[in-house]
Parts: sequence; structure tokens; C-alpha cells
Amino acid sequence: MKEKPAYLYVEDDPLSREVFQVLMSEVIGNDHITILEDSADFITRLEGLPEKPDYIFLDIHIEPLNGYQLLKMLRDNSAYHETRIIAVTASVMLEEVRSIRAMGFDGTIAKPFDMRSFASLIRRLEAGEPIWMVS
Amino acid sequence: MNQEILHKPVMIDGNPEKWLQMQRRRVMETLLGIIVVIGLPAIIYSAIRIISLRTLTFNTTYYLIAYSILFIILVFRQIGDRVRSIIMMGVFYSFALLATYSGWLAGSGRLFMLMLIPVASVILSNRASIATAVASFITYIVFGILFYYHLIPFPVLGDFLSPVVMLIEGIGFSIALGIAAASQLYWREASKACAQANNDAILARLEAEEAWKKADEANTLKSQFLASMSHELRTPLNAIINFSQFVSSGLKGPINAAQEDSLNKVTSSARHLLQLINDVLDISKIEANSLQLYIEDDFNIEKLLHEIREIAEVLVENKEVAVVLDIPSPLRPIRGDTKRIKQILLNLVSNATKFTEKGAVTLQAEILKDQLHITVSDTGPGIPDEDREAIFETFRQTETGLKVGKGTGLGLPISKKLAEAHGGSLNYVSELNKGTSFTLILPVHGVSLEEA
Repeated sequence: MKEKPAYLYVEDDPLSREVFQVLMSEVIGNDHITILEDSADFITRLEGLPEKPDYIFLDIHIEPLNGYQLLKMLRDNSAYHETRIIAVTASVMLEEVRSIRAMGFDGTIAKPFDMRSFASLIRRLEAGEPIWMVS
Repeated sequence: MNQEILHKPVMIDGNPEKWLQMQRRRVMETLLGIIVVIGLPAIIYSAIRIISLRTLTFNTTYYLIAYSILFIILVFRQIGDRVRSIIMMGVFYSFALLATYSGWLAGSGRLFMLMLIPVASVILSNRASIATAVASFITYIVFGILFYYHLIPFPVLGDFLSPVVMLIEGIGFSIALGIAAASQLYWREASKACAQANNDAILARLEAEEAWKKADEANTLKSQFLASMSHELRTPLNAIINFSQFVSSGLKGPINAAQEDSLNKVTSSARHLLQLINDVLDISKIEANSLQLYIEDDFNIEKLLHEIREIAEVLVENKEVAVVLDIPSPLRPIRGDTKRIKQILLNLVSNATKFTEKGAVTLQAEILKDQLHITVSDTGPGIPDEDREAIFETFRQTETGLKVGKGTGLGLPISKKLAEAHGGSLNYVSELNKGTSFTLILPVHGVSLEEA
């Protein structure tokens, strides 16, 4: 049983990537994180990771394949049935939240991330609580 | 759209006249057709007679000419409907005259003439039928005079009424039928008006559907725009808020108090900006009537109230204000949009803590009948009379509000709309220098109509 769960985050905004990196490694203290800038060759790169992720955070508006398409690929792959897949979105439209839920994500987090509540959010996520945080 | 209405030939190019004209033409051609078909044996007979007797009698000649004319106008449509109708009426009228004078139709010539009046009304126009009625009237007077003074021989065949009786009968019928023809006028006008109204209604309906489609498209475009704008605006805020916090919390190395203070100002401004973006999004959704609630069952309101109490305590940290949570009896879970109810309560609590310097902010909640009542009271300055209306108006901040600190002026209007969208309400009571109390009422069973 690993100490800390492994995270994968796919995000095209460089500053958001850095924020996540700092929040996870310095605020939460978890270094088992991988961050990808785009979704090209997603499955190949995913399988090439040293650790299989327990949690995958997907930016909805990523390219070339968007968050929904990546979700479908992951769900079709039995190797990732245990992986919790969380959508990350800066858009707060109800239609988007609805489709995130309908498409089968395990949760959603809104950008901007909030440093003050990030720790409790990760704690709740790792405790198995559903996270539907759209601020 | 009722397709039947569209396929009914009510209008052609939106012109009622054209439709009426089409009706007239139909009647005229039907009449002509009947006459041509029925009269054919008679014509053949007349033609044989002429050939065998080698003489032309007046009657036979008349029949041949009349029949030929009627045949021609039936076949040659390019003559024009109006001209055809007039020629046909002319032929009929000539026949009527001859019939009256010569005793054709077993003496019913005068009746035939009277019959022309309604026929004229149908195939020509009301004025033509009135003209026909006047012509019959005059014809009868003339014939009457001619017969009376023996200026022309009386008809050989037929029922012999005295000229005077015939005259009176004819005048009477002419007047009666003239009135009937005139009354046709109103029926025609009414038909025309109906047809026009129907046409207008169809056009209006089509226009409305077109406009609705356009509005729907515009609304979708607007929603998409808002969605992408909110994405674009919030992404950089992520960097601003978080990186300033990283530095101010010492994560990037030691900083002094002055640096920390500056960075906190950056962070709080960025948070304020975020609130503004959210509020503007909400207001534009509300005003486009596209605000939708995400209703969840079994939403634990008690837990939320404890959360709100904690937030309130942070907000009054440096003030002599106590935060009191008063829940007399346990609250059962309710149906509602969790995020939105939290938004309303946060708004009320942030206002209460903003305006109160000393005293207490109290959160009370209880379920009465089928309604959840949540009251947020403060011991602040109260709301003066002149501000009472402005409170729930968008973008209006009261003077007291502006003095105390920046807001967006959107918090309360949005809260009120959210409460109402749930089927509830938001109201307040206030006393100057004593305090204000906002009461949020929400139905326990949520809204079934506006369900997400």
C-alpha cells in the first residue's frame, strides 16, 4: 500500500499546471504526480508512466482529444476501472456540470483552485467522498 | 404549425381579391359548361334545320350566335375573366329580353331576367348585380309602358297577365332582388375580411415562429459565449489567487510583514474579481431567464448551517461580534439546489457581518408546516427608509453599503431571484440603529416544476 496515491493531471494552461504542482507537492506533500500538457498519444503516455494513477484530473477543454473523449477511452479500458476520474473546469455553466455528471466522471473541481480548501478537498477525495465542487 | 391551414387555398399571394376572382371564374365556367353541354343538341338541331330548310329564322340565328359566343368565352381563357363575365351577362341579358318579349321559356322570360341579378352578383360583383337589378327595373317599366300603350305587340305565348300586374311584379322582384344583391355586399366584405384575417394570422404565426427560432439561436450563442468567457476569465485568476497565496504563505521563501500585506491585498482583490464574474454570469442568466436550479434530494441543511456559522466566525474575527446558531429542533433534509442555497446564505451572512461592528449575528432555522425558515439577523445600523427599494435592485448599492466596503450590488437581487426560483421568498425587517433581519423561506419539498 503506497504512502501517497498517484495523481495524473492533463492541463493545457501552464500556470494552472504550476499551481497544481505547488499545491500537491508543497501544500499537500504528495510528489507522486504527473502532469501532461496535452492529450496527444494519451493512452501511450499513460501506460508509460512509472506508477499507475489512482486519480486522474482532466481539463475538459484540452486538445487534441477533449476531456470527454479521454474519459471514454479510460472507461473503455478495463485497466482503469478503479481509477477515479475528476473533471477540472473553469466554466460553471449548469449544462457543463450536467454533462460532466452524465458522461460518467467521478467528480468535478472548479478553477481557480483554492489553496485554503485544496487540502480538505484532496482529503475528502481520498476518503472516497464524492466531490462536486463548482464554485 | 397546423399544416391544414397552410394547405387550404385561402389565399394566393396574400391577396383576397385573387381568391374571390378564382371563385367567380369557377362559377362562370361551370355555368358556361352546363349551357354548352345542354345546348348542344339544340344547336345541332338548329344547324340541321337551317341546312335542310335553307332559311335562317331569327330564333335559330340568335341561338347559333349566342351559343358560339358562349362557347368561345368558355374556351378562350386568355380573354380575361372580367371580359368573359361581362360578355356572358350580356348574352344572358339579351336572351332575357328576347324571352320576355317573345314569350320564350313559356313566358318565364321575366323570371329569367330577374334570375340574372344573383348570377351577376356571383360571377361579376355586387355593383354589377345592383346594376342588373336597376336594368331589370327599367326594362320592366319600359316594357310595361310599351305594352300598355300597345306600342309593341304583347307576347303570343305564356301566361297573360295584364301589363300593369306584370309591371308591378317585375318592379317588386327587381327591388327585392336588388336588396338581396346589396346584402351580398356585406357577405362578400365579411368573407374578404375573414380571408384577410386568416391570412394575416398565418403570416403572423410564421413570423412568430421565425422570431422564436432566432431568439433561441441568439440565446444559445449567448450561453456559449458566457461559458467560454467564464472559462477565459477564470483561468488567469487561478494563477493570480494561487501564486500570491503561495508567496504570502511563505511557501516560496520567507517574506516580511509588508510583503505579506501587499500580497494579501492582491489575493483579496482577485477573489473580489472572481465574485464579480460569478455575479455577472448569474445576473445575465437570470435576465435571460435561463437560470436553472440543480435540485438535489436529501440535502442536509443543518450541516450547511454549521459550515456557514464557521465562515461567519472567520468574517468577524477582528470585531466584537458574536455568531450565534439557533436551531430549536432538528431539521430534516430538504430538496433544493445546494450550491445556490449556500450562495444565498453566504450573501446574507457576509452582509450581516459586513455591517455589524458590535453585537451579534444570529442564524436561526426551523421548519414550519412545509416550509424552512432561515433568519439571518444582525445588530447593525439597520436599513433606512430611502434605501428599502434599492436593496433588491441590481447594481444598486446603498450609501451605507458603499461606506462599509466594496460589494457588487448584485448579491441581494441574485439571492432573491434564487429564493423565488425555488418557490420560496426572501424578505427582511429592519430598524434603524437596532439591526436587520433577513428571512429566507424555502419549500421543504423543493420545486417540481423548475426541476433541473
